[in-house]
Amino acid sequence: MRSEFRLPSLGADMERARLTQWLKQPGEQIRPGEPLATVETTKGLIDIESYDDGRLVEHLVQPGTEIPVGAALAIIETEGVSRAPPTPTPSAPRPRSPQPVGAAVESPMTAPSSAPAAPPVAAQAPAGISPAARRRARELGIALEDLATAAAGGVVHIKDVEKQAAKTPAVPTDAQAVMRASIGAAMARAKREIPHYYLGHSLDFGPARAWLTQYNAPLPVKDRLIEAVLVTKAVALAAARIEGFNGYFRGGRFVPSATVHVGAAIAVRGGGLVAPALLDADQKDLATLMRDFSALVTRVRAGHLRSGEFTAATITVTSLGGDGIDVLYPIINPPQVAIVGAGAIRDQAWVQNGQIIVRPILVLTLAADHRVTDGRVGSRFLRTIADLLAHPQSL
Amino acid sequence: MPSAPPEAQARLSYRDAVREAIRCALRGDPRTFLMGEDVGRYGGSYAVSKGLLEEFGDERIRDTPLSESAFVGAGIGAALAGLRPIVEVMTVNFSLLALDQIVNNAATLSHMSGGQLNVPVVIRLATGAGRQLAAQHSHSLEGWYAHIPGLRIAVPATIDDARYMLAAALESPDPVLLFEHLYLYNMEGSLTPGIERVDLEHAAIRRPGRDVTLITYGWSLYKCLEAATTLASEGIQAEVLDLRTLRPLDDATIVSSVRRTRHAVIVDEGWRSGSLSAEVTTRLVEQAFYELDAPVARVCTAEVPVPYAKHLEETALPSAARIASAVREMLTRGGSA
Amino acid sequence: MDSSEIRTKLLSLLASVAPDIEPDRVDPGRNLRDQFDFDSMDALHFATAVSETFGIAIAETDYSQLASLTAAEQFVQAQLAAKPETPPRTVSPSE
Repeated sequence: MRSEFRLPSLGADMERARLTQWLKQPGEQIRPGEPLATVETTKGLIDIESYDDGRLVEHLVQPGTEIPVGAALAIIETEGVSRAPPTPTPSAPRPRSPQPVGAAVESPMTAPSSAPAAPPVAAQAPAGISPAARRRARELGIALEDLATAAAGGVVHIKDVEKQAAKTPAVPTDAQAVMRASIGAAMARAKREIPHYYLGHSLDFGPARAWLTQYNAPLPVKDRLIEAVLVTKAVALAAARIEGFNGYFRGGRFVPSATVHVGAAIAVRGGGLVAPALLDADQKDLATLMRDFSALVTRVRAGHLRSGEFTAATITVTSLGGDGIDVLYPIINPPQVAIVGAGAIRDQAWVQNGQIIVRPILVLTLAADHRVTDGRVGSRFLRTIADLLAHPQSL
Repeated sequence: MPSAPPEAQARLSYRDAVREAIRCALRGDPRTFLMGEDVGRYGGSYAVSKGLLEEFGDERIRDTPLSESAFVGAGIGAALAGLRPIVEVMTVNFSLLALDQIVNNAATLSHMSGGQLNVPVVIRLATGAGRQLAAQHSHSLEGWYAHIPGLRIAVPATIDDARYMLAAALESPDPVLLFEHLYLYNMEGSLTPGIERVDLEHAAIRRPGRDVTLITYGWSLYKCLEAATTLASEGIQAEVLDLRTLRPLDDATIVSSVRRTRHAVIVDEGWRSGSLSAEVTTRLVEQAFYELDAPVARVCTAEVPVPYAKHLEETALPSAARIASAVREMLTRGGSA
Repeated sequence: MDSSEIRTKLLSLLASVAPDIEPDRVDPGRNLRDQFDFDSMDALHFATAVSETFGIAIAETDYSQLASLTAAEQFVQAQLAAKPETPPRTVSPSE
C-alpha cells in the first residue's frame, strides 16, 4: 500500500519545521523506528522516524523547505497495515472527538440558509467550516473560535484559515526566540486549560544518598548513577501504581497510558528547555535508565533528538536541584496531567524520634490536573514516591 | 528528433480513428469480426465501418437483422466459442433490447462457471445527445452499465483513445462496452506520436490545475476544457480529469487530484439521480472528506427526456458556461475568494 | 604531561561533552555550572571523560575538584603525579 509520510507533530506547541536532510533515499528499505529525515524545529534538530516497514518511493519536499505539521514529506510503499504513531499505549480506546470548540461555532451548522430571520447571534458565527479548513486549522494551531469572526455568516474555507494564520504574529527566526515562543504557547495552553493543584512534600534523602554512594563507589565514573535517576525511577513506579497521573487528557476526558514514559525536563544552554521521554521508565533497572538518560542528554546537547522522544512522554519530572533552589512549582506539559518537581537536596534541620538532626532534605512538588484527580490521591502519589526513595534498594 | 510516422502527423476524425482501430484488429487477429445493424453495405449508421466490407468481406463484416437480443446474444456465443467479436449497437437506447444478454449472460457467465468460461466480446455503442435525435436516441446510459459487476465500461473521448481502446478491449477476457459519443465522430485531431496502446485502467489528467478538479468523460471533456480556458482568464486554474474507464473507476487518480485542489465539480451528461456522478461524489466523500474545502458540485443533464428542439436540448445538456459558473459559485461561496 | 597539554585536552573533552559551547570562550577560573549551566549529567559526562582520557580514578567526592577548568587542571596534574604504574582504585569513604 502506498501512503504519505507526513511531518509529525512533535509537541502541542509545534507548528512547522524545516527539512534539513534526507537520511533515506528513494528505493531504500525502511523499518519502524529508523530515522528517515532530519528536521529543524524550535527544539533543535530532530530525526523523524518511520512507523512503517517498507520502502521509500519518492521525496516530496527538498531540504531547506519549511513545512507545516501534517504536510506530506515523502511517499512510502508499506508492506503491511500502517502502525499507529509512537509509543503511548492507551489502556482504553481513545475517543476521536475533535478539540473542544466554542458552542457558537458548532451550533449553527445546521441552520437552514433560507431561514427568514436568523437570530442576531448567528450573524457572527460561520454557516459552516469545511473539512479541509478544520484540518488546516488544527495543523496551524488556529483556534476555531478565532475563525468564527474571519468569515462571519459565511463558510470558513481553508483560505480563511491561512489568512488568519498570517495575521497571527510572525514566527520569530532567531532560534532562542523561537524556542521561547514555543514554550510560551505550550505553557499558556496549560495555564488556560488545566486547573492545576499543587502539593509539596519534604523527604529525607539520606537513605537514597547512602545507597547511591555505596553503589557508585566501586564503579568507574561512566557507570555511576546520579540522584535524578533515582527520582525518575521512583516517579515512574508511582505513576504505574497509582492511577490518574500517567496519561493524557484528550477529548474531554482522561485517557490513561498503559506504558510509563517519563519526560525529563532538560535545560538547553543559553535558554529554554525540552522534555523528551525516557521510554518505559518503570520497567527498566537503574543502570539501563541511567544509560538512557545519559544518551538523552547527549542528544539534547548535540541538538539531535528523535521524533518519538518528543511526543511519547506520559508524565514529566523536572529538577532545579543543580541551581540550589529548594522548591519549584512546575506547570503541566499538555496533554499530560501531572508533573513532579524536585528541588535541591540540601542539609537541613530535621526532627526524627524527637531529636533535631541534620539530614539531606529533598522537597518534591506535584502539579496535577484537577479534572482528573484530587488532592487526596495526589498526596498518596507523592508519598508513594517518598516511600520508594526511602527504600532505594526497591528501585 | 526523429520524424513522426505519417499516420501520426495526419489529421483524422474520431470516426476515422475508430475505423482504423477496427481495421487493425481485423488484420491482426483472424478470430475478430464486426457485426451489427447496417455495418456492412450501408457502412455503419455513423459511417464508422465504411469500406470495411469491401476490404474484409461479408464473413467478417456481418449485417444483422434488427434484433439486438439476437445479434448481441450471437456475439456472446461467438466469444464463448473462442472468437473475438466486435458487436456494434447503433445507439445506446437499442441496447435496452439486449439487456438480458448483456447483464444476465455476458456479465455473469465467468462467475457462474467458476471461471471456466470467458466472454471476450466487445460491444460498441453510440451514446449521448446533442444532435437533435430527440428523447429516444439521446440517452447517456453508460452510468447504468457501470453498475454491473462483470462488465468493463470504457469511454474514448480523445482521438488516441478512439484509436487504441478497442485493442485493449479485445485483449480483455471479459465483456467490454465501449461508449462512443455520437457528437465526437466528426471531431478532428491527430494521433499523439509515440503512443501505440492505451489501458482501460486509468483516468487521465487532460489539463493540470490547482484550484478545482473537473471530473468528466466523453463529450463533456471538451466542455470542461473550454470552461477551464475561460476560468483561466479569470485566474482560476481548473484541472480537467477524463475518467476514461467508468468501471472500474480509477479512485487513486480521482482522489489524488481532489486532494490537491480540494474542490470537485463532476460533469456528467447522464441524469444526476442514481448516476455515475453520484457514485464519484460518494467516493470522494468516502476517501477525501477531510481534504474537501467545499461541497462537491455536479453539472448534469436536466432530469427530463432529452428535448428535440435545438435550444431546449442545448439548455438541458451540460455546457461550458454552466460548468464555469458552477466553479465560480463553489470558489466564491462564503466570501472566501 | 605539562599543564598546557592537560589544558588543551581538557578543553577538547569539554567540547565533546558540551558541543554547544565554544572552547575559546571558557573562563578557566569560573565555575562550569555557573558559566555553562552544567547540570549533574554534564558534570558526570565530564568526569567520565577526564577519568578515561587520563587514566585516573575519580571518586564521587572528588567531582567538586572538576568544578572549573583551572581546578580540573590542578586535580589532573596532582593525580598524574601521584599515579603509580597501575592506578589504584582508592576510594575515599563517604563523608
